[in-house]
Amino acid sequence: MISRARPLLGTLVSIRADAADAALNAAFAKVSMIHELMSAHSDTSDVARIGREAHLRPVRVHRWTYRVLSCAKALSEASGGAFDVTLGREGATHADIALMPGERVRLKRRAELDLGGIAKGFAVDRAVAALRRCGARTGSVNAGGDLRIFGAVSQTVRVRIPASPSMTLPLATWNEGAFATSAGYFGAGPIDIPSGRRSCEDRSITVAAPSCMIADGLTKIVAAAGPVPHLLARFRARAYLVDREGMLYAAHA
Amino acid sequence: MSRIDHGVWIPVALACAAAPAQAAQYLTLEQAQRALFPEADAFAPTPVRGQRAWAASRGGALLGHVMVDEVIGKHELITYALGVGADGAVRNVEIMDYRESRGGEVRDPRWRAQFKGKRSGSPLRLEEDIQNISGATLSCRHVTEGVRRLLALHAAELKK
Repeated sequence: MISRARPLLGTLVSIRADAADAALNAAFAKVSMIHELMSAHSDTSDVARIGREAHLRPVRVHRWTYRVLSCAKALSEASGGAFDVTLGREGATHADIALMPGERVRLKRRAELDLGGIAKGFAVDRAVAALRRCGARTGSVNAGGDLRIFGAVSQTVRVRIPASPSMTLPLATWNEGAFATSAGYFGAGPIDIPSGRRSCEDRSITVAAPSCMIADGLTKIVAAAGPVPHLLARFRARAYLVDREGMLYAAHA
Repeated sequence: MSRIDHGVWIPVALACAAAPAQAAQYLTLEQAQRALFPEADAFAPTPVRGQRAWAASRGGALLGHVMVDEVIGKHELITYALGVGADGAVRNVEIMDYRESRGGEVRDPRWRAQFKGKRSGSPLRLEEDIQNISGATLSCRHVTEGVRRLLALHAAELKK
């Protein structure tokens, strides 16, 4: 088992697998690529090009960007807009994103997109796929709390306790799974629009789902709207809440 | 039924104890040097202004430099290695070591009760623990700032 970590996607990405260095390098290469395609801070990323041009003409994007946008749209529609990758300036919403054949994206009105709430999860999924293709049988990829584990050996997944983030609770032990946590303890975490407060100030929300991309998107929805049963059922997910002092709660569909 | 069902949270009893702090060692100095310059056959120490640095070469020809730095945040200590090619371009950044400081114990008796008599602070296999924590890690902002500083130092002192 070897493990390595690099600063990517605005966080520390750590990868561990029973594989050769080449497998880890291949997995990091996928994460770097997603970083370049979907960064909001780079002028040449797909996300920046959409913000600049897609309200004027369709913009051809990489198939991965298209896939992340498709998933984002499904999450937006299923949650009645609780999840939305448009930044909401000038009144634009997810409904203004048109996904056209040929991996082209058109915006009905000018909007800036932020895929930060979902691209990290997708990067974790792609990194795991790369490890498996390179022959890894057991491993894990963690991008700042978006976590996926796989393999023959069961692994315990832990979550931090909001009031003392250097302490962790064991969530459960699995062989396979994808998890994402929204929390406010390091200053991030989704903002509740009506109140302007961070919706995870005193608690953390973790979602377990079949893919890390889905878990990543759903955790923001559950943080804002609660563990809505029909959403958990539709995406085959489970939700967990850790309160300030470290009490654990679960919700199923 | 028109009411929106927001779902219900149900308390869960935990089967094992909470654990403190995270730490992981990813690469030793030698491993980091080899990861950044796999083709090199020599690494010669060339410290600059108190910064640990090595010149990577193959058959006497300079390939670039490995610079090692530590960044200290509010809760974390990260040692990382930066590989810079002879042309001044970044090859990669590898985290060598990551440590988080310990926080206080949780005092709430309700919280302790959920462990059903098991003791908190059970022995840790640190290498495994950091990998499988779902929940924000600290940002890598300090590393990004450190890399910028090292690149300026490299341009001023090491670039040919």
